[in-house]
Amino acid sequence: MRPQLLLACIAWLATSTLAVFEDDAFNVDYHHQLVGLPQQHTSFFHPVRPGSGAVLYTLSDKLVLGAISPKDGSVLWRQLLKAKSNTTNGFLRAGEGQDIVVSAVDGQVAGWSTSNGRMAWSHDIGEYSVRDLEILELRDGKETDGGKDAVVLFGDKHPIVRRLDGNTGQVKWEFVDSSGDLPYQISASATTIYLVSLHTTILNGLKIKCASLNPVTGHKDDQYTLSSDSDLSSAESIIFVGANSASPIIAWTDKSYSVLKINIIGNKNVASFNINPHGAESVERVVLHAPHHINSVSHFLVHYQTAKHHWAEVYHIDLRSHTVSKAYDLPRLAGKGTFSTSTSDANVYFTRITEDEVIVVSSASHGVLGRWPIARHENSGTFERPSHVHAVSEVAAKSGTLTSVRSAVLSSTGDWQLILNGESQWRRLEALAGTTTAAWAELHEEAALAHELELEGHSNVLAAYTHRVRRHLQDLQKLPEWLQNLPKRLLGSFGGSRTAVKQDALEHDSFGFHKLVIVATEHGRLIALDAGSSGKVVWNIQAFNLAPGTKWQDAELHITEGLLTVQDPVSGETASFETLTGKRALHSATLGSRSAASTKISYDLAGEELRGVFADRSNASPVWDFKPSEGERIQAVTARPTEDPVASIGKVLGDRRVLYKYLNPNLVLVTTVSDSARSLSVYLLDSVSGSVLYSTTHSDVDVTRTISSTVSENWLAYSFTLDSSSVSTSQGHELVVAELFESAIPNDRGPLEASSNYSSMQPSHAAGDGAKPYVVAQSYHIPEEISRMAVTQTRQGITSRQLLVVLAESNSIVGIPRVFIDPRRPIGRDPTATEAAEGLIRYSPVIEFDPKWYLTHKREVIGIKKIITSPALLESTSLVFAYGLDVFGTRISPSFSFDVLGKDFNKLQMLATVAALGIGTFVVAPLVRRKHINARWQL
Amino acid sequence: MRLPALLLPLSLLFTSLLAQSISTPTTHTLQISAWPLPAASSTPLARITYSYPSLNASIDSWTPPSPPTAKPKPDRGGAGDTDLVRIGFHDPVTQHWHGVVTSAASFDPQFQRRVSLHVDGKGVVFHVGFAAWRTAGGNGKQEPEVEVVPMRRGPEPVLNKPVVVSEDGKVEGAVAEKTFLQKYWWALALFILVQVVMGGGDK
Repeated sequence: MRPQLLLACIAWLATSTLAVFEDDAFNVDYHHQLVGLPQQHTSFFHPVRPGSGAVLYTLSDKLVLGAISPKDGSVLWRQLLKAKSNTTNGFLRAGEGQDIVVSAVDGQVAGWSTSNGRMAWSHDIGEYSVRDLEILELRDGKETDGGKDAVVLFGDKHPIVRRLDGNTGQVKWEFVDSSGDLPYQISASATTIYLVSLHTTILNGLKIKCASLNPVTGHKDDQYTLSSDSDLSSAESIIFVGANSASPIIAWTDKSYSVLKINIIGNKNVASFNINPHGAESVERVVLHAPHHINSVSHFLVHYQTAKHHWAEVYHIDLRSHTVSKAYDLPRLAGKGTFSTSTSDANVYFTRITEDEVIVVSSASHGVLGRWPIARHENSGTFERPSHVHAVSEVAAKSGTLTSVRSAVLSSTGDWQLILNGESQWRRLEALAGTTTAAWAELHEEAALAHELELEGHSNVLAAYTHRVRRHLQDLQKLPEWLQNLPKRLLGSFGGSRTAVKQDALEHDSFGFHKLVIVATEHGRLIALDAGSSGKVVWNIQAFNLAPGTKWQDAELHITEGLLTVQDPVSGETASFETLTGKRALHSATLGSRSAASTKISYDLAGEELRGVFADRSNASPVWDFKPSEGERIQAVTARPTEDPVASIGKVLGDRRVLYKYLNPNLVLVTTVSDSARSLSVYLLDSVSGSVLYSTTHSDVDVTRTISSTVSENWLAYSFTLDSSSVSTSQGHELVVAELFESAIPNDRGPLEASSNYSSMQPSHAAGDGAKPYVVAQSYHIPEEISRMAVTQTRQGITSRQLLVVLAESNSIVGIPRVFIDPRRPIGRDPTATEAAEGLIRYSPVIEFDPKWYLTHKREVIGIKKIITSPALLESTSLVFAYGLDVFGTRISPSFSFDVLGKDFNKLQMLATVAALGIGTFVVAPLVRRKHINARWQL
Repeated sequence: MRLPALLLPLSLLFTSLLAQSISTPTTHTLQISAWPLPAASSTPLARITYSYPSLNASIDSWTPPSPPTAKPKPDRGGAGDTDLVRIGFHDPVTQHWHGVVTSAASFDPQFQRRVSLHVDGKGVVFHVGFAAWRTAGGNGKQEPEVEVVPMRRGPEPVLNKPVVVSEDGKVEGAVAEKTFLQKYWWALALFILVQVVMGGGDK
């Protein structure tokens, strides 16, 4: 009995000291595991192992290589590939029957295991970036057992082709073309590798040059040039260079899309077909879809898209006569459509997905094999009618008859969904991966009420009275609904399970966990997520239509009284949206009017100088100007948050004396680095007067690594990495925390003493210069580089703060409790009794990230660029939202949830106890009374 | 033979000169100017001579700006702020102006003032600071105090002391552990004493 009791006690103690409680994990936090927008040429269905079921592989525009389960859309594995340049283009190929997918991004070619995403091999080609990547399906004319070799094309002036071993990534041979032509693509047939390069003629036309290489030796066998210079002016006009089909082709059109020209590679003949635009609309896009399977029949489809219609033509290639002929047309239909190719044995199927239906045809004849209407999906928060951007499909056919087709379709809303026989199976919100800015929005019921009350306060008595009566009548309409829900709510709260009454509707909850996070994506979308119900999308709109190739990077979201105001990136005008619905508001709030009213002097970064200017820009010349010392460049400017409530102006010591905090709302932290001196300097400025409050410098810093910083309350933190060649005793990553006080002496406010007011500019009426803080700083070693910092926020600032740090290497977010980074930790000795009473612990030079501090626990959050925090209505709780690539949100209680009952609190038991006691009192009361009376009579 | 003999004292002289130039603090002068907000250009405020790294500074000249003509209006922002004065200096290389802003009231004779010069590791001023406060006597000195603020080195982790091991693998300075007898002799003695005292009585 006793050992069991002891064990139970230990178990209870262990769980009560965790930062993320086990029952909170996966419950209070939410995570959108994203890959980014998939691209058609790098997405495909491929079996994990030969013979097993297919998995969807993609290399997205964010250079995330991911394997997605086609059943439920969950991520099986992901790899974030690093690019040297800011390219969004990569290559992904898989050989037939292979358990390795090969990726190429910039100068890095790598093979990845299909089952677990581990790197099988990698090959670095140096400074060049890869132009094309193909898998050699046949080695020396016959299929082989081992890994299939990859062929890469790279180089600028001199195209280089390398054949890499499919098992090790070793170079088998290299071919250098010294002709000076622009490398374009490679294509491999059963016997030959073709190098397609572009030769610029004098008249700025392009000639397509085709060299055939021997796949075994890498020597050039033959070469020919197509006289395409009359209609080919740029590489964009080439619409297709056929990959590993039995008869690879090159197809191109002229600029006005009037003629389609096709050349079967290895043959100099060029077939030419006129494009019939079917009416007045001009053709906007021509896409060629051909099978990549080496054994499939050599048929292909050409897809034409105009502004409002689309159609397609299917062509057959005669392998003996090397001629191309048109087989049949697919009818012209309204709207945008996508086509995708899939193969089953040697047969080729084309899947056409229009806005309303999925149609499958065989490449051999125009007979429709399968037709399914697309079920209208439930409203996913968008008002627009999404169109399909591209799709990849897989058909299941048994002995020539089609049984099912599934397609992974990217729609214009950024949703990636799987449609199986017309039914939407799952939907991934890949638009969120492009989040550049995010902001918190209150559910504005409270704000609306405050607004109404304000109206009543400012109008005359009669008007205010009628207004109030009308408001109450309106509120009465909600009464029946409220009464209806009452029993359910009561039952739910006594049943002890709070999840049973999880609100689906966007409702204000008493704890304030329901808040909206509004994010702006680089593609001009605005998306609202509900932080209270697992990051569910509330609305999702295309706010602005950006020009192709541009990104919405520096969006500023201003949220006031239920209105989101944002500057149009195209026209520069301001637009307003209702935060609850995403509908465009009729009246738009003027941008920055509020901030200008309360701020007189703001600051901005001008080159390598930070300058203070009047917030209303009434005077163009700078008020103050700060330039760091010679040779330093400003690396980051961090300001104290505008909403940063502080509960106590002092820090109470163990002996009841007080250290007064230096609280200045205008703190700005500037971090600068010097490349030549390899040093980091930190300047703390007063953003009103421009004076330097604190400055410090660190030498032997690796200035190429990330330096992150943050300011909150009366303290600041920054982290950096020491140079590996430094001779100092410390090596690795460091975290520095500095705290500002009014004076070094407890119970002393320095020169400020009794003054209730203080100005950054006016002369101080206290005796002495009180502008400079007393700074205590400590430095710690940390095991990992910090890529981003943030600080938790609570409603009143009573709860102790946590420093939230993003660890890019381990893909996680850690919350460091304030007590571990208190710069007053005693060094080299144990804390005295008074220090211990204050909560100080002995200094240790290393802060190990305790596994309990990991807010992301088991989750892997990749590509996090920023964290924002917001207070809940509960003082103990802070809401956290992190974005960048993945989207992660949680709520944390840095001082534990002291103001809310835990889940293990049994309301039913408590009620039963009270009831039992009440009944007991009723039963016992007469007995006691009788006993008393009897006792008196017996005297 | 003669040339090296001649070179030696010369080079000695040179090195001693060099050493002197390093060890003696170099003195710099800096022109601080005041720039009232509506004014188009700045006017000289002070000429300060300071030395680095000894951080001594003195004021060569001091010409406070003329008191504001208009009455200070405390609650007005934007253009027309005649009660703000920018204090700073011109970068000798780029001719850019760097400095801080303060209230014109800071130049009232009742206040004591201080000009801070923030210098970098080479002794070059990169920023200035200005403060004014009421003195105990109610009347401050005309000339401000001058302070040179060097860049402080940031905190470094205070590492634990490494354990020094001697050649035979023993920790140096560690006290040899006492034997059981050395540690608990008093308990044994007490036990024997009790035995001796108690043993006599039982007959």
